[in-house]
Amino acid sequence: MKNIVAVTACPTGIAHTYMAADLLRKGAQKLGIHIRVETQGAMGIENQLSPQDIAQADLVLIVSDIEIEHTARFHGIPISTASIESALTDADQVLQDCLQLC
Amino acid sequence: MLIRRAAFYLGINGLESWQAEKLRKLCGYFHASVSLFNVSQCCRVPLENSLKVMAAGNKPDDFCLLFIEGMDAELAHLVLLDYISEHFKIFQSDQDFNFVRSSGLECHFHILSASDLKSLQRLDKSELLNQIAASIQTPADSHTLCSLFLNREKHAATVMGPQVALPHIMTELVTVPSIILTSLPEPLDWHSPRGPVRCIIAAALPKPASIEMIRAFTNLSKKLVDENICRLLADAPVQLQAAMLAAMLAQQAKC
Repeated sequence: MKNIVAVTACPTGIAHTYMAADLLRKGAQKLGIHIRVETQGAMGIENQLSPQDIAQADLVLIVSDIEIEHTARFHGIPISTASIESALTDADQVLQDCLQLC
Repeated sequence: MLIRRAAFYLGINGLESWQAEKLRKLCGYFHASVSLFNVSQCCRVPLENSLKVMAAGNKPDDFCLLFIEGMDAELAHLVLLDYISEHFKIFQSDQDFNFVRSSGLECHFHILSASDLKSLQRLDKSELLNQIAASIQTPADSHTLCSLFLNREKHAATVMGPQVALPHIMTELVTVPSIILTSLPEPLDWHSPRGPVRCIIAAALPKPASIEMIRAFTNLSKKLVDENICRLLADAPVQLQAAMLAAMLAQQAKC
């Protein structure tokens, strides 16, 4: 089973950050991917990825329209990026693309 | 197929097991299928299964809808409504609905009705956002706010589920949070691959916004990911939409 850690963020951080996170979780369940999603929204960082999560990850997925915080911790792990729009439109596709890279 | 709807608020004891059991019994007298949709908890269950009804996590003062579908929906509606009015508080759209009290949010709430928009020659996304911006309580110029909305939309269109959009901005230009609800008779192109919209919930929040306000909005957006809820919301009359919106903002999301 592939292991992905994801971070979502959007400019205002009150709506799409959380929607994208939700859709990624649902999509991953469908595709049999183990995923942990951290949200960087107006409420700050929630569901923060632990060092263990990151160490075990095959891939980091960043779904964001802005610069996200704390990227240094992902050093050494392949990173895939996607826009919020693409995750909202077709989260499954975004995850499929990730699997190609794993 | 007839569809009837009843909206009500639970009492201080929520929905008790004997009430769920009584509702189940009443349902049994009719062919119509009845489901209980607890808007506050974002949970839809068949009323004929009282265990599921109890598992919906009903809490005091939750806002609920009953959906009654079937040939004898009219009759079932009468009977169920009778029981509900005895035990719970029926929501009546003609009564004064207080959005601030229902949602528990200190904000300016306004409904942009179809008649407000009739005077417009042509309704498109930017024109509607212009109208919305003009309804927002702000010392600033409404054109400035409108361009903020449009900028936000440029990043990604704010369509949530089917038929529902949540355009939102956070800016120093507003001091009082404003929520503007628009319900359109015809779908409007929102320039999104996720389709056109009929229900537009616009929010202008101060920057920085209070933590309660942010939490309320994240609650709302998490709920609006659900396609069924969006459909129900888009199909509801505007007064009911306002009550549903207040309930979704007020309650902590279960997930």
